[in-house]
Amino acid sequence: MLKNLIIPKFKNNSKEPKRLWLDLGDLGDLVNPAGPHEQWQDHGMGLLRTILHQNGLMTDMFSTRQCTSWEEVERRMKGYDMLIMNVRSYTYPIAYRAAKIFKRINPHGIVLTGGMHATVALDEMLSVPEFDKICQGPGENVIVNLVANPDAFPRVVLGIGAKSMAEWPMIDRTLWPEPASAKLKARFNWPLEPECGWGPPPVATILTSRVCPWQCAFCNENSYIPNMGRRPVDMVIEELNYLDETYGPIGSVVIHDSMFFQNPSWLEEWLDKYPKYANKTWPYWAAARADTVRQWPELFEALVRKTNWHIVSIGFESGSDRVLKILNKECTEEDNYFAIDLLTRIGDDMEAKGLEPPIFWSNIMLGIPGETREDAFKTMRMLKYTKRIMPSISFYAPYPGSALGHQLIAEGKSLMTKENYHRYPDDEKVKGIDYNFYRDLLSGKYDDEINRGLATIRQQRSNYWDALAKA
Amino acid sequence: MKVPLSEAQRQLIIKMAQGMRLKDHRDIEGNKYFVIYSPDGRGDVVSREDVEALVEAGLVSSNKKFPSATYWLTEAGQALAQSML
Repeated sequence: MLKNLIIPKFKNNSKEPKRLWLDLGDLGDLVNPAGPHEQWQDHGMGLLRTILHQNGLMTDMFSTRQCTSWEEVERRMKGYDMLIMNVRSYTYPIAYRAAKIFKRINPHGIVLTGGMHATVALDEMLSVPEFDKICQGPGENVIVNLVANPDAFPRVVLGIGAKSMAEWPMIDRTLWPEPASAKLKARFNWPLEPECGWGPPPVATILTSRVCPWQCAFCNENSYIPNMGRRPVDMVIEELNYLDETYGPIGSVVIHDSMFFQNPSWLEEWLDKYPKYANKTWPYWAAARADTVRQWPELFEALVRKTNWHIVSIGFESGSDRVLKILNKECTEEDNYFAIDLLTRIGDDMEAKGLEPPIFWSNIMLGIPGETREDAFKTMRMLKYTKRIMPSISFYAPYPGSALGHQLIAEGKSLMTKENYHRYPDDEKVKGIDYNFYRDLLSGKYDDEINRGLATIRQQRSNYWDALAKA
Repeated sequence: MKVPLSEAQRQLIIKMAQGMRLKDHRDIEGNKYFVIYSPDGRGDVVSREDVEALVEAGLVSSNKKFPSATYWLTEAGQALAQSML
């Protein structure tokens, strides 16, 4: 067993400040959730609380998701000296309100914040006086000193990350919030996680790598978080086995990496060791890119077949080269169709052998500035062409922090504002986009047009595969 | 397999087939609700139980976006809608 599994126990010194870590999410999400994703746990919080506790800095914790009213949140926050929050864009309004309440009922208390929203939207955080300290970027190598001695730091703190995920301790998952109703407890599998349609429960979510190195114009996460070494394969497998033995049996795994299918040498080691040394070759969800699938098709196929990579998440985004260029996706239509054909062929073969075929989980964007109707038809055609797919379709959103988002905000074309962009109140996010056309498209009004081109694509792809087979 | 639908559920299917869009919403007070929107942007709240029943029956699916998802008719839902229109 790994040494980093052993967490030293420290007694809470009564002279120590009372510290509260507030897990953020919508009220009631851990009482009576409406969907699976809102029940997922925060790996950032789990990691940082584990580090704090290993260093003797104990924190209490509860989640806004465990509460059903702000009065309950207020009651549970009373009497603390320090409030710590990991703030994402979609939890920003909750963090803002919690900080206001905390300061009102604990006027001498200090509020420490960090997280992705602090990193990409610092101006917004700075305008809130209740946020006493704002940590940008990775926090794992600064949080102990910051929490122990916040007065030694300026208001804005530049985070320090680990050079490698091998330096991270294993998350103590009992530091995550528990489901807060008997009904939810019965199916949650805490401290593992509930199923979300990607594999059988209980689900173990895990990170093996951090940050996608590509520079898509709608994301750009690697502009904010420095690269770091991937978690060694042995550590990943040992953690899964530990979770299986301690809290399991595990039903399936979700690898939360922004980009799992990178670093071929790591993937080859995973291919070799996961089936051999994991207690079970649990089916898993993990992300890839169409161009890397095309670049390393043998490795991709081996991973799907031998490691039970059952749900392959690929952000195809668009079925049009024009739009893929606008998005700086660095993938082509041909890359997308190659990946689709390859997984279909693997799936057909597995199905013929009585095995469950792998499925795509695919993010698709519509309503991208510059997209023509024909571009959108091509995207819908690509979706219809794909035999086994769970599509996740959304309208493009110009988020602050991304290159295209910056540009559209600067040009005054974004309909998202600081007041509403966290809550996605409407589909309409960019000026000049014909959203009625897209609504009609999604409701099937252009299906005849889409289907007309589909037969041609099927014929072309069939010829392509015939030619490849002959070659 | 035929799924017995309530009148409210049938109406929801018909409205979606006619181009109205179904979305879920949540607010900072913890309220979660479903709204069916007409093309002019007017919205009516619909029952969460009805939407969940249609999803369970495979007639309606969504983009599974969190914290607000957009729903649409699956192929089975579209076929059913055609038979009802």
